[in-house]
Amino acid sequence: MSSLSGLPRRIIKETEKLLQDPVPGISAVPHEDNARYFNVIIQGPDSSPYEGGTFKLELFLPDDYPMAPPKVRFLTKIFHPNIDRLGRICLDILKDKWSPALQIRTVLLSIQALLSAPNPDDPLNNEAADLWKKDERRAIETAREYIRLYASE
Amino acid sequence: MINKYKLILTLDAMGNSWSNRNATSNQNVPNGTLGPRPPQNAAQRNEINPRMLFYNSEFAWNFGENVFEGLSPYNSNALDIPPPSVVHERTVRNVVRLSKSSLQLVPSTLPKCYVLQFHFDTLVDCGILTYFLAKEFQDDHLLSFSSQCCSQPSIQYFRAGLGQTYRQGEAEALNFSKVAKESLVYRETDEYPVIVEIKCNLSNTGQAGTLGTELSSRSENSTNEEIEGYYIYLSLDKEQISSGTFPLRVIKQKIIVHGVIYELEEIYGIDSGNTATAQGCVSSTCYSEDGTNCAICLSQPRDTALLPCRHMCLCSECAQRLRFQSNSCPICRQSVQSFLQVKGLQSHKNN
Ligand SMILES: [Zn+2]
Ligand SMILES: [Zn+2]
Repeated sequence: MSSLSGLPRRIIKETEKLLQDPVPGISAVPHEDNARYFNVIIQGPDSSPYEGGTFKLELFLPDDYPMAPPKVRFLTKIFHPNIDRLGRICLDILKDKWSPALQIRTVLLSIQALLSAPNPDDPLNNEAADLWKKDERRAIETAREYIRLYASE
Repeated sequence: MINKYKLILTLDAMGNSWSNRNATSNQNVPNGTLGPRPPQNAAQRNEINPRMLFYNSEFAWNFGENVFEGLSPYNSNALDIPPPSVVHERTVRNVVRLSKSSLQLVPSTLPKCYVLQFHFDTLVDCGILTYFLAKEFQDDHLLSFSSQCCSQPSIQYFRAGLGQTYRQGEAEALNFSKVAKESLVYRETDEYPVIVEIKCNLSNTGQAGTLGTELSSRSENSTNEEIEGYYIYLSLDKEQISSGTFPLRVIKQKIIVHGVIYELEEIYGIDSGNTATAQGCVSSTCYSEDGTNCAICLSQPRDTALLPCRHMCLCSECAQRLRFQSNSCPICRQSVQSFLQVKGLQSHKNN
């Protein structure tokens, strides 16, 4: 892996740990040509609206990582009050609540947790958030429909 | 000698701004994403000896020798201020170490009566006294205590030596049929359940004799400042009252160096070994995942604590970077006023 040269020790360590000791339901593999770019797959958590879904994400570590947060985006379409049509995620630790003590692992765990607990009170996708507040059952049905269309293997 | 016991001295110069900061920064702290924050007690911070307002530095101490160096505080609001240089601060030689886990009330020979007992190491001859339910009085250079329930305690003398045991005199035993156990639980008032006073500078107390000459000849050769008095304030835990044993918890600690009184604060994360946690010295809960390595680079040993939150979570290199790029602690997000670099940690660990 020649792309590892010049990479901060921290990123190498995190990558090694992610590969050797992956988080259940999450895989994160660095791109062959760019060790700062990860292909991520998150399985929809059990007994959540997203159960059974397989969601692809991209994660990029900017130059000033870990002082700056990683950039993460859903590639798979998802109906979720905190994830918009472009796959952008409304998560405080990816913005102002980022801390360099957090890691790729903790970020992905937080995203997994966001799938288990959608928060319509802090919406990024207004359509999903409104439906979630008005008619949660229909919202969850819509989320399942999206999984059938976009997030099934 | 294994060094598990390191402490920062927090100085009064920061007292007021600390409590103000605590008030504002609490709102920014998220609910536990990053692990627990060390206890911050603004009320306790405020009762600070005004004499110490003249000092604007941090320094820390360490059993047996001194290894600490402080960075001068920087102003995080003024971005164009050059980074602080490493300023060598005063160092203090700690000469007495208590085993925190051994602090307890044990039955005396009389029924329902209990005395204080603990194990300790001391590098100098010292004298120890115990006060029950006492109030503290601060003079310019002195701390004195007056007990509400007991007469003035008598002092016990100890030679320099390791692995010693202090056991309070039977005559001073606390009678639980006269004093309620509940009164030994600290209630954030000016009355402390138990105070241990350790006089480390016996040559000044008229108790000179042979003990004193030995001490003063040692002091002349030493460039370090040695502590004159060490004070440990203790409380019973509420949960322990119904049980038959009475371990004591440290509420605060003070020392006197050159007639100046300092309150001691613990650094969190200096040693993530279980031993240290058991001794009540540091909390290692935030650090379990990556052992003793820096939270930012995950590779260098951590040797820099952040003040005022006292999280020891960075290596000095990453601390330098953090100064330019962020002003909050990676562990608790409290804003950072200054950095405290602790030298010589590794050599101790290897010993
Ligand atoms: Zn580091
Ligand atoms: Zn902190």
